[in-house]
Amino acid sequence: MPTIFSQYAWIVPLLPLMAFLFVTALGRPSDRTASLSGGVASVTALILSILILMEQLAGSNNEYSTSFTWFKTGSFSLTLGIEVTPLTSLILTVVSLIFFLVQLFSYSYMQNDDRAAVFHGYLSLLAFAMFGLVLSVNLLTLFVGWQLLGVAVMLLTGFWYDKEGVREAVKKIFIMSGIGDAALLLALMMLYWYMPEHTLDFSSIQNVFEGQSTSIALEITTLIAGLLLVGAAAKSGLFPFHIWLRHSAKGPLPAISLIHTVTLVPAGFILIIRTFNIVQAAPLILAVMAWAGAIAALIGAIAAMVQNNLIKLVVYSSASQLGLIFLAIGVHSLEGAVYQFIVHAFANTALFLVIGTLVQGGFGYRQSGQRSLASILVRCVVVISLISLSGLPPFPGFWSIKTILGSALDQQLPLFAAGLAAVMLTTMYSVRFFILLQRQQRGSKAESGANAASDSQSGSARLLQEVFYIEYFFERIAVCMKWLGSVIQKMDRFLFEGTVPRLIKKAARLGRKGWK
Amino acid sequence: MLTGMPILSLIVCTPLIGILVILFMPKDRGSWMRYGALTASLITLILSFILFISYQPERGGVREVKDWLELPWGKSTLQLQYHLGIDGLSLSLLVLTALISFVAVLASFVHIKKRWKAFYSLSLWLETGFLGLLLARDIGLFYLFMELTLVGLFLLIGIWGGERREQSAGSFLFHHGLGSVLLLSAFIMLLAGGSTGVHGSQPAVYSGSYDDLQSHTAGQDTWAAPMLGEPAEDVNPPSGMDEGMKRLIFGLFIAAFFIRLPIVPLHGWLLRLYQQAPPAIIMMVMGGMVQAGFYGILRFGLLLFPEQAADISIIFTVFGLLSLLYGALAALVQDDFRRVLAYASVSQTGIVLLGIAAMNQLGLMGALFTVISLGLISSLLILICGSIAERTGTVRIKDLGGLARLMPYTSGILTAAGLAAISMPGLSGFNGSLLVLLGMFDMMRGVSAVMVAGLLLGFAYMLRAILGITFGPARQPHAALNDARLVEAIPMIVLLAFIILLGLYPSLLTDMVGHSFSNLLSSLNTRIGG
Repeated sequence: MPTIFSQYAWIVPLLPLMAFLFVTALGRPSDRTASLSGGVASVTALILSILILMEQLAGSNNEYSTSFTWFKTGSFSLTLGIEVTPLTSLILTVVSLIFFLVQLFSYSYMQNDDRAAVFHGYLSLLAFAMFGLVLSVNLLTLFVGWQLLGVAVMLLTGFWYDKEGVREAVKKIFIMSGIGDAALLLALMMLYWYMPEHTLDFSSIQNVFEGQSTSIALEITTLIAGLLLVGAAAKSGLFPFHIWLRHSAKGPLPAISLIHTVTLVPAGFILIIRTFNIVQAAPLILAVMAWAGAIAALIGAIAAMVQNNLIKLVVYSSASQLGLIFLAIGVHSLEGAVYQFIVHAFANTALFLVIGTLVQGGFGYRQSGQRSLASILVRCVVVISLISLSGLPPFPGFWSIKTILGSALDQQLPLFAAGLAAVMLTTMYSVRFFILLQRQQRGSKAESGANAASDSQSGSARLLQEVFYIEYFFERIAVCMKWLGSVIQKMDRFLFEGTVPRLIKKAARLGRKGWK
Repeated sequence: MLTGMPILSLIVCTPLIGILVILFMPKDRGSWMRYGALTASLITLILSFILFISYQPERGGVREVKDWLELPWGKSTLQLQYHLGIDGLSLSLLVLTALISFVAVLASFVHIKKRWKAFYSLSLWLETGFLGLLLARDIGLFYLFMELTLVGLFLLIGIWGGERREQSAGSFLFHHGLGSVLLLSAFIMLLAGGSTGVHGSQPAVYSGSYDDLQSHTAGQDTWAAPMLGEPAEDVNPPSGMDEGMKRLIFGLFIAAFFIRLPIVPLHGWLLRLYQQAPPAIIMMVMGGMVQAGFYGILRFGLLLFPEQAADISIIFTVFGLLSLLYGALAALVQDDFRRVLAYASVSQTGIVLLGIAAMNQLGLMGALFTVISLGLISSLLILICGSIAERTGTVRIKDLGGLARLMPYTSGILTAAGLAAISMPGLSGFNGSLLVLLGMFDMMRGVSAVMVAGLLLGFAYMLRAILGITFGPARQPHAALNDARLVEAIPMIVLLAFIILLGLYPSLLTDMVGHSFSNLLSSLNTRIGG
């Protein structure tokens, strides 16, 4: 079967980019048209990606890739491009479906905001970055998408820029994701020099690292894989870098939902799964990844347990799910990882949107308060999502968690135990989520007060944030940098504005007097 | 299109003609002078675009040579030429300088409120200097143009600066005067030393021609100026100078151009300039002086003395890292947005120097890219800073805040410019940094890791400044601010358009420059023995 639609896969990332440029060019006043263009772009992208997926699944060996030389100097060239494989098209379809749904949701959610058009523009930028990242043919393209993702997340989280604390939150998120960028950049440079013929595309990477007889020394491979892991962990909020997660709940809800289910958090997963051969060639890093995933799953689940704020609960739940995904990769269970990603994307998006509907009063539910058919339907969605997350039978979560835990059991018993504990905790916080949801919806009258109260966290939650003093450690570094900066400032003042120029002037005056 | 027209001379002379026209305008017609200066710089810009489009890298550049003056010098004569020439390196910087000068004239519409005649004359004067020194192929001519810019900038800062303009101008003169002295002594030694090999019967001719000098310093096996038409008999014994002399001259050149770039211990003048000068002047400095420093290091440092440069590439690396980290750390704690920008520029010049230190094609191309995007981005940032300062009366980050609500357009452009400055892909800063990193990685692995850390610091200081200005609740005293006027918006959009263009389509630059760079590099490599 010829590849008809796959050839046009490059349109998918371009559509949201066009929407973003269009909205930006129109500016603030044109609410409706601007928002509509984002919607049209995401629908078209969704349809196209479904067609591509069907085509990829229909026949074997339909993979398609295209790239162009971005620029070259002398014998070195850097290329960008896209690649369609069954895996990328599957992820693309999931991502574009959720983008479309969330965009639909945000139409009414953002209805009363006078900058709704700007918001939709930012969403389109996020979609562009993510589609580019998913479809990337080489590490450079992925890196471009990776950095743009950081920008889009910064814009979205800082959307309500005049709210208190947003500035700090955005700064922390952006710098954490900057650490991810830096690590990935280093990995990219190392690969660029150690790969034969300076290629960066994933198929060559696969060829070079797949066999045992790689031309690249084990230490180098371990270093590259380690940098990739650090990059993924910093971007996705995996264990030592999880501190930005709690700052991320400052933006509009649709944005939080997208960030945690299909963009920033899974970006690390996509990076690792595309470069899996490198990681696989470095057993040490693979083991570290499995453990980091297990720890992240546990920490995320425990943190979700003690949250009073529903949004933060789901945020930590996403972090926990991501930990499971990394655990799956670490124990060689790629199918389990992809499966878990899909389960998590749908279930957590549903939870986020439900919070928006029932608690934050989108669609007028809060005002009516009675139990209409729609409200019961929404509750069914919640229950199904929660059961699926908890890995209980008839829903897909069962299969994904079974695969992951099965592979973990084959590898190491402690990993299996940690994974199992995380899944059990998931069940517990699911129950808690449901109870909190009921309570907060009922107490909608005292919403304003309750909201403030739920924001302040219990002591145990605060204790958790300080796990291993990670945040303290980062703050120490920041303070050190600031101290160095102020030393430099003082020195410069002394040299160029203060004492030294004055001395020179004085000497000149003395000299003139002597002359006379 | 260009046949028969002395386009290089036209480019250099157009601003001078503009000055003449402006001088004859009545004194009170400010707007006439504005548009006169704008027209002159626009024509220059268009001419340089034409040159850029019609330039064919394979065929080499255009040259315009005239004998200029001959001075007796002892028994022999000093021969200086009016010699303009162009290659890919000069050309890309030429277009940038013309562009920034044009935008700076536009920007001055808002910010310059007194003595228009003098201001616009001096601005065009400055533009001539910057353009001329990129084209000059004779060291006497180069030095002349360099001095033009020094005088012009000194007066510009001294007259139109802020409260402490005298100090700022003095600091500028001190640094650049020192630079000029170093440069002049290097040139004289080069002239004298370059011809010592001549022991013929006829009196020696000290030629200031760049190609002659290059053949003197470099030995005869190199690219002895095929277009100059001079037969090979003029080429002297392989090394006209001994090693120590070469080192000394090279050191003088490097020191002189480090001041102009500016590299860290010599950056005092830039700080003061940022504090005191109006945006238009800072833009011209960032679009001209920094480029001149970079160009000088390449043209007179690396290309005349490749072996010496290769020997001390470690010094380039050390100073590059020093500037990068020093600037970034200092930018992290500044209260004043202008000072943040000044230190950010210092930090960026560190990247430029690291690219030069890499001494390979990737690194040099990256350095060129960084210089060009530094010119564009820092001009844009200082322009926005000027607009904000004009409205709010302050540039202290603590006193600003919430401008995203009040001035959405300006804030948007500010955010884009800030992202470009911290090298986001799709904007021009990224390509330069990436190339420098890749080039550096080939030479010194550890250094590129440190450089990545420096870039990460850039995230921190730029974000701190921009979020501090745009985010947060709007301040009461600024409640009635207007967004950018059209005359402010146009230069911002022009600059941003070029930043995006170079970011998305870097081949525009790399293809143009690549050829002449690979020529330069092959000569470098053959002589370094790499």
